[in-house]
Amino acid sequence: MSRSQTTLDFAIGVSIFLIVVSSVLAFVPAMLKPFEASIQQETTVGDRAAQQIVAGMLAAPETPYVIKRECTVVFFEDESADTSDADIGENTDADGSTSAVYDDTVVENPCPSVPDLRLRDRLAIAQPGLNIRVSVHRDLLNGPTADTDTAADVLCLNAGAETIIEAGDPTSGDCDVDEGDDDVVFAIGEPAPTKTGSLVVARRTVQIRGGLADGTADSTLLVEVW
Amino acid sequence: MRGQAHTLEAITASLLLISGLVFALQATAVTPLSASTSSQHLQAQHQAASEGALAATLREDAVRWAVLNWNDSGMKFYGAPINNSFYTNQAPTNEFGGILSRTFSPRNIAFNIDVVYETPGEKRKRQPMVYRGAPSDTAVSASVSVTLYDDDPFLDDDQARVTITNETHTYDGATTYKVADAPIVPNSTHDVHDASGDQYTRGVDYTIIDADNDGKFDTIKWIGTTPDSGETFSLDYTPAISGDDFYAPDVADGAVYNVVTVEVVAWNQ
Repeated sequence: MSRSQTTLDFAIGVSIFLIVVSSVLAFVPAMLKPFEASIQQETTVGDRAAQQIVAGMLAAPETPYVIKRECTVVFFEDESADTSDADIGENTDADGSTSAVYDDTVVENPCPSVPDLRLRDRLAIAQPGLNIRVSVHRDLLNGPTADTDTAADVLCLNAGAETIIEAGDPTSGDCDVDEGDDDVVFAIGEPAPTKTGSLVVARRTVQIRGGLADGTADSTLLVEVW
Repeated sequence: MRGQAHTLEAITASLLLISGLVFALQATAVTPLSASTSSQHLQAQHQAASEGALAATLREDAVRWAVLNWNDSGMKFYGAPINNSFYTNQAPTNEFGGILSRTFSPRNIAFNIDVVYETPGEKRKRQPMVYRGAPSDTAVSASVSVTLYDDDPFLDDDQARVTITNETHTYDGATTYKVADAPIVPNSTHDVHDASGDQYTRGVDYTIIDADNDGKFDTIKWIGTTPDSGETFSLDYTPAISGDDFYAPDVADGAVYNVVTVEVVAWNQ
């Protein structure tokens, strides 16, 4: 007796076939994912810039991650007022005066390892689409120099007392960039975007020679690239 | 107008599709920077954070303090929980632990700290300082070496030398008295006085000698004015690290006690 295919066989066959076809079609985009544009360039740039800053520019080569105070201040000086070059070493704000310790008319070139260029040229970032921001963060311990929350805040040099404190609001308080005493906020570069596709952060733990206002010295240097 | 009619055709077609897909999968590449939990970028950040934190502690001498922050009577690190000799849920209660927890805790990175020391048989053993579980596959490690000397004292939670105060002995006519917690850090004895209040000066009335010729000072020897017979005298001194009450033994004959390596292993929780 010969029996050909019944309806049940046909149903099983068609369902197997349709399931396999749909899963293969669904899998193909995932297979192509490694080849699409990713954040590899931002990751590499951020990591390279962070290492260059922490191990070459701000620190002595034999003691990486231990950054010098003068070099940190020179690196983070505000360059927004001048468009031709960075004028590093002048530490001027609106009133045109300079802070004596970091004034290059008093101390010739206080930090030779930080080139006198704008930030992007200093870090050798040639790609026009890349943006970068460098900052130093820390949540200071107890005492009058710390704020009451436990979130890490950008640090700032209080030029009057020569101590490093949390910046808080940079237009009032001990760290005031508009006042006449040349406070330096340890943040430089474009402001980080609030809505963005991909922002890569490279972090380094650094120790600032001379310490912070609460007696400790360790803080985190952040390099954001997008 | 017949499409697929037989089951066998359907199964064969499915097998062809799947083998084509498997072949294509072998040809694709996953780069080291592709998004995944074991991304190389993340590991590089953790590695740099560990090295930076250790560089900070080395400069502050915080590592030496943490290594010597050993409670010799309880045979554990100061502040460690009751049943263990090491910390489990928190960082050490000294500056070393402070720097590491400020570096790692805000980013939910767990870390283990081990102190690797040498033993007389040229083997290396580990004393855990912090143990918070087995590290994941993507853990990174950084290490720093500290040299310990024969006359290093124990350090307490305030980075002060641990001192034995008012240890009493009874003067019975013998010239030498061995202290209870030998060996002593050289020239660390002070406030030697007897029950009647007379003070005695090192170098004039007594001296510290090495009675058993092991290279370490452990005995007080009277050379000048002595207490009366039967009178008790007491002294303060700082004990030095030794093989009996420290986790590492003395492996070198000279002034060096041991060379330990402090290893930090960090991973994402």
